[in-house]
Amino acid sequence: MLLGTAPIAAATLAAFTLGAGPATDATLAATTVQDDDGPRTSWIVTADEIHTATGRVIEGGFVRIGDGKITAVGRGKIAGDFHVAAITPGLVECSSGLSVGQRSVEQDSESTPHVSVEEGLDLFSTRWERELRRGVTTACVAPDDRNVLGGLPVVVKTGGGEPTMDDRVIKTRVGVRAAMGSEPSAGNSPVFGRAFGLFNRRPTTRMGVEWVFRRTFYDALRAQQDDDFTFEGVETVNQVLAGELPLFIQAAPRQDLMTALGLKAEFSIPNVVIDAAAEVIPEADAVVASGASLIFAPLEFDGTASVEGAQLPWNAPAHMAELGVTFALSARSTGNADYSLAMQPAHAIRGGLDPVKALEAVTIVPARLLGVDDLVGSIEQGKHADLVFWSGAPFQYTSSVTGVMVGGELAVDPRHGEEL
Amino acid sequence: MISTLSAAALLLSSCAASGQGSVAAPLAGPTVTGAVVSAPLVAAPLEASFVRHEVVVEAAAPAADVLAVRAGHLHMADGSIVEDGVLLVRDGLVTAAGADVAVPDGARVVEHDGHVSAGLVAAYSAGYLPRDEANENTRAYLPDGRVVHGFDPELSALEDALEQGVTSLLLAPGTSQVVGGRTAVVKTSGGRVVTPNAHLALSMGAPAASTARTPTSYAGIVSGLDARFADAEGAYAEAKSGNLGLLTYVSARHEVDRALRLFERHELKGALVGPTLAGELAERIRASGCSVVLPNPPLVLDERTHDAMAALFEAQVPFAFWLSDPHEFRASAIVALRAGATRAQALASITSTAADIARVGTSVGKLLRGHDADFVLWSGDPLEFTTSVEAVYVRGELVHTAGHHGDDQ
Repeated sequence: MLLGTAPIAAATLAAFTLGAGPATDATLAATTVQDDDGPRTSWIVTADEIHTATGRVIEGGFVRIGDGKITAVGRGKIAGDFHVAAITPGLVECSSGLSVGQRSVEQDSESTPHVSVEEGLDLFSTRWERELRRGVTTACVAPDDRNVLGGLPVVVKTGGGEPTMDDRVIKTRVGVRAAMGSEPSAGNSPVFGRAFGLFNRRPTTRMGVEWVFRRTFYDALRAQQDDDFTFEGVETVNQVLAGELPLFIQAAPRQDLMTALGLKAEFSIPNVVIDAAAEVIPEADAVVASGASLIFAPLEFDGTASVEGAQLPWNAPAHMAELGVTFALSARSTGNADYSLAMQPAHAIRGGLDPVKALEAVTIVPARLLGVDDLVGSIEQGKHADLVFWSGAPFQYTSSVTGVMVGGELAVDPRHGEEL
Repeated sequence: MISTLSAAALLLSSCAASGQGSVAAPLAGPTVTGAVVSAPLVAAPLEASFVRHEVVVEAAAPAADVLAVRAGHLHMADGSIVEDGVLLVRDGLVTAAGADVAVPDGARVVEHDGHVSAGLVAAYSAGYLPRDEANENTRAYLPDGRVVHGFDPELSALEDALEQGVTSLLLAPGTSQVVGGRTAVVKTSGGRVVTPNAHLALSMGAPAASTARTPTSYAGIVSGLDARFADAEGAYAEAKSGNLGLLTYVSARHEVDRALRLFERHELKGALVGPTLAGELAERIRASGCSVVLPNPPLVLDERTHDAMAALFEAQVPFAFWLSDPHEFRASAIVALRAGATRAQALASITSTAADIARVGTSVGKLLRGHDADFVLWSGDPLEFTTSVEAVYVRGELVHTAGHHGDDQ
């Protein structure tokens, strides 16, 4: 078995409280019945290993699913609808980039903290299914990083039901998206050199980006003191200052990381998540001292992150784990299957990360960072039946995703022998 | 075929018509709200247009002013086809159409053994305004702008459309402004403006989120429109009440979805222009009460586009096609027929339904008493590829006959 945690006896699982009586009873058969005409969302799946992402692994167990929710998890030989080698929770991508592109961010101002990305979604895009087939069942979508303070991300299911806001969007106002570095300033220019337009405004440099951020937060502090002073988005900034909304700051290179941590300290922002984190080892002390959480940029074979060309060695997640820093892994919905979210834990484990931590870093930890851990991120009774089925031990180069379930619907049916 | 007898009648009719100044009143003067407008400024809502059964005209009229067209196959307002039908025209208007219509003594008679239908109507068009007249690029919101001020009756493209049987078309602002202005419906012949004020034109498509000015995002488009429709005044209030039409450019399905959610919040409905795969959301569109104006499909549809169109027809969503290349316009209706539309739905998509969507269904698009006598003499069934235009009448006046230049068979 890959994961080091001891299997837990079925008797210690308290998941059998639903109406069907004790689940260890072999009469809990596969006669799952569905009333409505939609896709089937009630199943019993058995597996050699169930990695629940709650710190335990069940050997020789089952997951029972009713109406799209997990109704029971346990150990024991029972007749199921199908059997797989291993089950993990559906993967949670907290830095997906699956927006409609530049039209997802309102560049009316370089500081639009209050604008939700909801209207910048294309739920009909084929990219959702690509993510789903690679095991990602939940994804956070943020506005593109063309603004310093870009707005409010949302959390979306990648499949299940219909491609409507009601069926797919599970949380809005997830936090505020901010970006350091060159992306918010790229393409801007002074008023001379090209005709007057949007891009003639600040910022054109890192110091300009940081200035916009600080002006916004100082304006919010001023508005708290001065009843006659306000600006669009002030309530949202105040929620960030009060710790009611997390602040996600993209900061990959070392200087951007230090800028972000400096801003966190300057404004005493309680809840900061560094996105696209890369060059963290040289500033490990500052990261630990700040209390910020991290979302790592995708680990790639050459040790260079796709964001701003920052250095990101494979041992960075293991190093942060040793220091007790909370972090998630991300794949930014890359088209390259080698760097998909299902492969990121493999790279991190190869860099020395404990496999249990690696699993959590693509499931329950990102779910917590996004505030949706009550719904998804682990295999527990009452949560969405979002499951990934594996041909062998998860996150091994020799294993593959053979099936994916989202909200109880079999998006990829492992019985068809499809492998990705 | 036009018989020798009727050729003389055609000549007569042409002379008579040119003597009537009211038939083809040109657009003139600084305002278009005056007498040149033949339809009410505010057209009736789409659902208010209705089909009346043909009425036999009273015989009291001096028959010399009457034009009578004897048609082998006459396409009626209700979608039926009458064999050996008669169409009566007086003062530029239809006075009767049907099987049992008597030709008054002394009427000028046109014999046509082919098909006769209402002149074709385009519920949306591109390329029928002079360059740069469709988009007011410096203003993302221009609710009181009227594209009719850019209408050039001498534009050669109008003649091209006329030759393909198109007698009325909707002029719309371009798609790169959120609120582009007001649409207008004009005749392709004579410079007549049917209405200068058919719809408030919105764009919720990608071109409206432009970094040339704000808004640059879908969120910006939506918040801008939400604010304007929430406490609606002026054109927004008129569009909300239905006094003014609403026409919205959307292309991708997520844009359709976004528009439908906006419409639901503000109790709006209108025409969705441009969504090729609208049929994949057919049930939602039907429930919204919206109609759809589709881009011209290719002659041979891929399976997905075919299925989407079929779903739209199945759901009974009112649909029409836009006009860009006039040679493709009638073909769009033929493609619709092949994709599962009924013959009546298909022909209506380029005549009566198009006129309803363009909010001029009470004056053009049907051969119905009181409607403009805009009609086409076809060599055969207009829903056949091999059929060509033989003659086009606007307001009872012969304005085009197929020449011998090889442009029509």
